Amino acid sequence: MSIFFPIAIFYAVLLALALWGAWLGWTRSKSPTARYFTVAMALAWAIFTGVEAWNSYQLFSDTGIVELAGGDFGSPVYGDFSTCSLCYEGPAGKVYVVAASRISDGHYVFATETNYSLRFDSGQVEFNYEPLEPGCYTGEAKTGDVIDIVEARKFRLEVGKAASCD
Amino acid sequence: MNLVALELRKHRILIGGMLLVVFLWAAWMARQVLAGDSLVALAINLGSLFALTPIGLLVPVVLARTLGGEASGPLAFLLTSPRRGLAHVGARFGVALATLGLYYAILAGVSAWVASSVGIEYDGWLPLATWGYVMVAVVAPMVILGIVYGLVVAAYRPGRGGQLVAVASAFGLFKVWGWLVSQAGERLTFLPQLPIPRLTVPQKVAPYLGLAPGDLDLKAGLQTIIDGIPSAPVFVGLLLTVALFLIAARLWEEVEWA
Repeated sequence: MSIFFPIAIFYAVLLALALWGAWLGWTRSKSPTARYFTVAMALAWAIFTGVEAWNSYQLFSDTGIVELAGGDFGSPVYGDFSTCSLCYEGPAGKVYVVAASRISDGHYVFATETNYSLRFDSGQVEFNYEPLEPGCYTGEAKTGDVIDIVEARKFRLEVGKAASCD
Repeated sequence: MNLVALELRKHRILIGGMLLVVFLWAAWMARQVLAGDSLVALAINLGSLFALTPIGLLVPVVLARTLGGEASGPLAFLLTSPRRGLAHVGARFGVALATLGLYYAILAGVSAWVASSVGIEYDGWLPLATWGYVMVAVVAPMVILGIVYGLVVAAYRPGRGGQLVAVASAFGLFKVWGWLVSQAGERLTFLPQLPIPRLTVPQKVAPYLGLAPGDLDLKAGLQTIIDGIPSAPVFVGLLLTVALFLIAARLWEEVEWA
């Protein structure tokens, strides 16, 4: 049973109630303007709501509920250790962190020689164009080292002195 | 009795209350500015605008509720006067629109005065134009929608359970309204673009508004993005007001009062 079933039930009940109310009004009223206005506007509401519900159903089916629930910022995240944007400073030193439950098309070039830690649960991640197995890696990166993220889940990259796999 | 005088008398508590609130607010602002603390006055002004602007929504709600109460009350026979529906609806609409017009004019005027006292520079026509834009594009359709809602409930007699359909049709009208605005904005390219107002925020104010330090020139900033302020919402508001006014006038004559 799909997740849309209760939503469809909700809309069906709402529509039935609206039709029942329209019928009550139609039979009691003697005002044609009120009849036509109410029915036209209620129909407009039903059509717009239905179209919106259908559009969101299509969006959910095309994209998948995990992506929409997880949030799609629609733009890549820019930041690096040297300019210290998206960067935290704790007692152990500065560390630049990119963490995402799902990430794709990522690219990171080390501008300075520093510690790093790289962790992901599944997916395709390359360090200096060599594919990595899922897990956690830590070490010291040289200037010009490259991390390419094709697609990964539960991803966490830390750059800086305080980077670790803990 | 004159219908307008009757409306003014019926809603004297609402009208008097709204004007009292806005006059007290204006006096408070004047005191802050004249005390020389205009930056604080601007902060209070912007903060209280968020609370004061939606109060205008009371007017259409009260209009609809009053109609319902009158239609089901013991004096419903008074509504079957020989006057045309146009006169009844016109009096209610006119009084409500005048009240809200005065209310928002005082809000806009005092805000503009506080802003200029802080050193914000703007075109002289900006407060009046903003007021007119909002009145035609939002306030007038909302007021006539309140009257139409009250009349539909009286004429259609949806009953207790069937109020749902009246609510659904009101939502439908909002959907149609939004659709018309978006369609007119996209399709009707011949509609004039209103000029972008000149609005310069001085350096001492900008950080408090969350803007980058330095003089902010709104016109220079916006000119690179848009050609002008779209006028489609004004025309759609006008169209909607006229259409709903005619519907309300017809409904009035079809309602079985009493």
